[in-house]
Amino acid sequence: MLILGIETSCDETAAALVKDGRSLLSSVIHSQIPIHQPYGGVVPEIASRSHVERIDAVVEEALKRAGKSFEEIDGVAVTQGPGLIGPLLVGVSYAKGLAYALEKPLIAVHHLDGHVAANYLAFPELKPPFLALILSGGHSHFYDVVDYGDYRCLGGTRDDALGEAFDKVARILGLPYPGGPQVEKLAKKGQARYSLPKTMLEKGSLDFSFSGIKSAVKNLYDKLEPGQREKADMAASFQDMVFTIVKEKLAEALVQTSHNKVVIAGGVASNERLRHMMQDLNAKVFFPPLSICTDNGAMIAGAGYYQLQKGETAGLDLNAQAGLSL
Amino acid sequence: MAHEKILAFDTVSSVCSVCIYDGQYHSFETTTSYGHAGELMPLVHRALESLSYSLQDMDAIVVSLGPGSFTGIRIGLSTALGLSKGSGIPCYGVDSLLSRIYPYEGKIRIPLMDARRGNVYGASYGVVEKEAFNGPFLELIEELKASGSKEEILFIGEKLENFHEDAKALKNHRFLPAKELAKGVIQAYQEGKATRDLRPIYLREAEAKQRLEAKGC
Repeated sequence: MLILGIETSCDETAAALVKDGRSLLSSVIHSQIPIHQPYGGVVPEIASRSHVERIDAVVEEALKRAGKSFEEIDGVAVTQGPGLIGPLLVGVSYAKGLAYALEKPLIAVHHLDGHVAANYLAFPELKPPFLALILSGGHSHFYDVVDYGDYRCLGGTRDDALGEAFDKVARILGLPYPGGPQVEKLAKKGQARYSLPKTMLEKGSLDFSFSGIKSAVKNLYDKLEPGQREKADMAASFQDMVFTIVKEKLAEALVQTSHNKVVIAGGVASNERLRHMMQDLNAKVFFPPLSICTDNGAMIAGAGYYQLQKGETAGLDLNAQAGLSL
Repeated sequence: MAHEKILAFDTVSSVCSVCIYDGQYHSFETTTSYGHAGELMPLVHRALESLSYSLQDMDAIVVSLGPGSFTGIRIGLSTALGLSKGSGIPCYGVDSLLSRIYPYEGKIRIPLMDARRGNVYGASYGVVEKEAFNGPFLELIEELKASGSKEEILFIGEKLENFHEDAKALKNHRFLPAKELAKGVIQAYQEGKATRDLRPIYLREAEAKQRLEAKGC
């Protein structure tokens, strides 16, 4: 079964073709990073304008690279949310028109379900149930994945998402957008020698709070004279502290759920230091390959396949939802 | 000879409007304001179905490219692109100011859309000609006075009450409602005013870009 996946929730216009939810035939991603760089972050109106300019060509390219025709597609999957409403509406509107014209099922996919499903593309042996930790610009949440597309939230951030905290620390340190990869790069040159607060919240809690750590970086930066600021050390200290917290919470979540498999997904999961630090957990740890770790159409097609298997299709009145819950 | 069959829609203002032409114009509209994202495709489907057509019976898809609501423009255009890609039916775009003049005859027809803070998207067709612009309504009034034309001016648009007072500086004018929006889109296409260059007509940069440019970056 061949699914076309379309993703436009933020600053990537992406489309991909996936066979049977597991096999990636093509993936095309048009990144808007250079467009948003002058603004230090994603500007929703500018992102929306770029999506509508690119979507047609991106979808066509995905078909071409897979060597498939539109008639061979069995369904059109699209990110319904969460994300930026203007960008989401471009993908949803396009997918609705396309599915209608092709007389194929339309499938509305949750962006986070997509991030988890990216792992199905890389690991044939991975099947629910398992524990999932999603770390992205908008989310930092634990889920008990009971079945394909069936999630129970176990806890999540009470303030900043981890990716958001990375972006804010990047801004404090004067690094350009997108901040996450920049902090990671700088941290490689530094030592984690600054002491930052280890916010663990109540005993046994699977919630996170990252805003205090981010503020501590800001206070540290402001306190030091420009000549004394070891930015690389600050980046390394921040990164190691947040990942230490993530690791301890993850160990706790594994105990609480008795799972022996965990999927770590979302844009932050592309961080090499995170991947390294999670090696010795008491479970099999899955990280998606870097090529499908950040936003892409393949993960949406993958998740869409399992929804279609369950008969979960969307109607023509489908609307994008910025705050869609899982 | 059979008539060319045309499907058109306009989602750049508050009303979601669909029209099918098959020798006659069949108009379909929803009454909710700015419900395009959820309503456009069901309305397209209902329009086709009520005339016992399928999408494949159409020879052309024509969409309103703006100016107007940025989000509305993109919902219409994205939908049209998807429909066209999946069906192989060619897609065309028309200027949404031009398409709004068709319901009315007159020597000076001026379609307008509220662009907030005293600004309008507008254009003037007829004895006084003015290309599509985004600017203060008061400037338009001054230009119309300076033109010296005595012809009646027809302002065409929705929700323009805020501009009625300023327009009183003109002696001979009327405000008329924009209507049958998608029908106008088809009429513009039939007069050869459509383009295959399917880029939105915003007439205004994103605000963040305006601010950045103001800083001289």
